[in-house]
Amino acid sequence: MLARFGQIDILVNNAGVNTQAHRVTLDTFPKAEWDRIVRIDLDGTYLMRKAALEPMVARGAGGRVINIASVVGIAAMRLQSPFAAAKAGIVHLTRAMAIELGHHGILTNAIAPGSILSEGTRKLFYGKGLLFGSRTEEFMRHIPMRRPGDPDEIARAVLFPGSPAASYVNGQCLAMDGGWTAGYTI
Amino acid sequence: MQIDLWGKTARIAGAAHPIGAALRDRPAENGAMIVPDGLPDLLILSAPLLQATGFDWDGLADMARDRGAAMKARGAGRIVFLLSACATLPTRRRPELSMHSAALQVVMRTLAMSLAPRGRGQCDGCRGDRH
Repeated sequence: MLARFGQIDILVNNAGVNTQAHRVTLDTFPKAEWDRIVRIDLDGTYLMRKAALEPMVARGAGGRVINIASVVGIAAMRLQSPFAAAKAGIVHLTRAMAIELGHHGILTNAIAPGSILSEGTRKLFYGKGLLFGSRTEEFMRHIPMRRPGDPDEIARAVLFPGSPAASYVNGQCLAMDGGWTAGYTI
Repeated sequence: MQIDLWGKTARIAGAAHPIGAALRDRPAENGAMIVPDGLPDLLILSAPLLQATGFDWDGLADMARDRGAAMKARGAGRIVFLLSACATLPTRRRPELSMHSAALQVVMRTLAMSLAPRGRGQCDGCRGDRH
């Protein structure tokens, strides 16, 4: 990437997974699945330091880092403890990076998507006989806007911390969740 | 950053301060029409950023509730609070400002929960009850 373009202005740490096969409580949560999720969701952002952050600091022209967290990193949900822990880690890692890198002109912020209708979650929410099934409507009652978000709605939000408009925004986590984490809706 | 507010009305109400002044022309620069009163598409409620005394905090909260209810009845609207950072991180030297700012933030959050479901919104990204 660097060889081709010569510089990185904006790093988006987007890689992330959750568990679908192991929706169980922590006492029985398989170690291998815990490791897989935490390594991708949390360690993955750390591991970008050599490939992207070092060159960004060395170049001396500042930059932007946008970490994709989750509302589950703000308000925990059950039966997905490694995802909740890793995403909470991302929210706080974002603050730590903001403090460490701010004086280089590198601004680090996080976006916390809520319930987003992707191909994967479409099956989860609206597929027959799958995890939520008829409970989807009940689940949506927790979201003030009563609907999941579109991937495009998140994509537009990611542009903001990367834009000149966010030149004094550092260490923040912006939830894009239809109001899910504004408070207790029910 | 260019944000398309073409055809929208915007109103800024509340406390006067340098940030409010810097904000004054922004909606118009992005296509919105500034209106002095009435029910706009975008209502920006500006709270004091330094001095808490002598400002009608309840009045600002009342305006948010009242205009929010009218927006809900209309089916669309946006309310943006301009608050001091001490709403989330209280400042020792400004206990009253911290308290009032935090209270307004809670007003914002409770309004977000109560007004959102019927909000059909103004743009592609904010359709309300779709499912």
